[in-house]
Formats: sequence, C-alpha cells, structure tokens
Amino acid sequence: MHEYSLACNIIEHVISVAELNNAKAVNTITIGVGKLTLVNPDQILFCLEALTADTIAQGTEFVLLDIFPDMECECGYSGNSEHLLKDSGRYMNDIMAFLEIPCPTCGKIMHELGGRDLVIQSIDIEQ
Amino acid sequence: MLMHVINIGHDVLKANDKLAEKNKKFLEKNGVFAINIMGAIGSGKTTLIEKAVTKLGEKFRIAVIAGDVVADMDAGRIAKLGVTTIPVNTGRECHLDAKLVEKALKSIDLKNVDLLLMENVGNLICPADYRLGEHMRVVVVSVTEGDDIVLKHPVIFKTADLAVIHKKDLAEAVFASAEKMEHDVRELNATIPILKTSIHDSVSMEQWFSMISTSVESLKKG
Repeated sequence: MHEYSLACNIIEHVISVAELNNAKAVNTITIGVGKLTLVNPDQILFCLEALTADTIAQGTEFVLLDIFPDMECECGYSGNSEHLLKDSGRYMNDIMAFLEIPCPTCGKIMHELGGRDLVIQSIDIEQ
Repeated sequence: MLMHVINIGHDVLKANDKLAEKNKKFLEKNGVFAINIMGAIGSGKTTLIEKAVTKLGEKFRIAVIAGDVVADMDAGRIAKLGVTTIPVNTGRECHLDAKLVEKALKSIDLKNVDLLLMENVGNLICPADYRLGEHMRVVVVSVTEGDDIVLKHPVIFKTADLAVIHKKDLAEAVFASAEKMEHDVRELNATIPILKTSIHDSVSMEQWFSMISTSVESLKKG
C-alpha cells in the first residue's frame, strides 16, 4: 500500500514540469506501469485524482499504460512477455504468470528483464 | 490557447533505485556491509536480529536500523544489546525506502561499523519494490504464516539473496510443512540459499550467523 506516496511523487513532478512550461492546465497525464510493479492501478488512480484537486492538473485525464517486460532464456531466446503470454492463454494480471513463462525454443523458465517500472511518460498541457 | 505534449520519462521507482545505489557506494566507502531484512509482522525478524547481534557482536561492530510504522519497540529491544540502533518511523508507509535510509545513515558513525542490519517494516509486498542500498536481501517467513505464504508473494522471494523459513519447531502445531515452503522458494528462485531455523535449534542458529559472517567477510576481502 505505497500507492499514496508514489502518487505524491508523480504529481509533484508533473506540477513542477507543468509550471516550468508555463502551463495553465494539464489535460492528460500518461503513466506507464510495469506488470511486475506491486502497485494497484485502481488505488493509484484514486490517489492521483485526489491529489490533483485544486491544482492546475485538476480534472486531468490519467492514462495508465501497461509495460510488459522482455523475457530472456539462457538458451539465447528473447521476446516480449505480452506476446508470449497471449500465446499461452494465461491471465495477464497474475504476477505469477510472468515468472513462469516457458521458453518457446527449449521449454526452460525464462527470466524477466525489467517490468518494475512506474514512469511518468508524458503530459499534455495548455499554455 | 496552446496545447503541448511534454515527454517526461521520469520513473518514480527508479529514482529510489538511484538513491539506493548512492547509499550502497557510501556504505562501501566506509567498509560497511548492509543487510535488508524483510518479512511479515510476527515472522521473527527482530528476534533473529537480536540473536545475530548477540553472537556476531564479538566479531563485528554492528549498527541496526529498525523500521516501524509508528512505534519504536523493536529499536528498544535491540538497543538493550548495546549496539547503535536507529529507529526509523515510516509514518504512513509500509516499507523502508532509500531516502529514509540515507537520512538514518547520517546519524551513524559508519567509520566504526562493519555490519549494518536494516529491519524493514513487517510486510511481504511493498519492501520488494524498494532497494535501500543493501548488499544482501534476506526474506524471513515463519511456518505460522501458513505454508502457502511463499507462493502468494513470489516477487519478494525472486529478488531476495537468502530465504529464512523460521519457527520450524512450530510447524506441526500449525499444520504447516517447512519442506513445502522450502520447495516453493526453490521453485521461484533456483539459486537462493534457504535456511530452516528455530531459536530452539542451535545448529540452525549457527547457520544463520555463519551466513551473515561469510557475507560480511567476502565484502572485506573485496
């Protein structure tokens, strides 16, 4: 349950960038969330909305995008987890699924590269 | 009115990682080996730290950072053993982070410390996302949490360097299997060392001490 402090960090950063750019309003904030980040999207959205009240970002639209980690196998195979999971038919919101993806070439369990992101990708402002 | 998209690319979790890396370098400059001890409420973190401080205090100069949401009871228990103990209250937070540790390090005379034990807030979820600047991540899990607890928290076991399955003497009383837990940890992490411990089993306690001791010495040797 660290969504609140992460949301604080995000809004602090967004407002400072917006002010540096003489923004009158922030219309959209796009945030990338790694599939292995232990953050609940609904909770962070709730915190973000609460924190933007009475700021220049009030009423902004939040766009949360999934970041699917790349996977690599000791045999040398690598690929993105989104396609690999789609092919396997596993439920993609289950963290375990990302830790158990077998290599399509040799069948060994692959290692994830990243996926623990929480990144402010862009903001759309009015000047 | 002018609309304008600004690309930012600022990762709020990586910002913590960067600060953690800075803490680690600072600790190394002072010859300090740091351990992040994570585990649920009541898993036995504080007791394992007390035992380690008592035993390894003959060999190493030890300091402890004791994280808790509001109270400082754990810090009080450890301070009684005569080592520098910094209580860190996270307030509303469920984990220690690199910023809190950076601040705590300022009140420790690191030149006179070989081993820093950092007791995280009792929780198996949030500490997994936050590096502190540690050299070793220990996850403590007790059989009394139920033997399905490991598979419910895969990320922390994947990212730890040592797993301690604690209170193994109570397994029968709570219908849990320490062996199942060991098997589950192994499934998640093929290379992690696993200890099954109880404070009533001195052999297992010696393994806990020696795991820490060997790791501290490996840093000293470079």
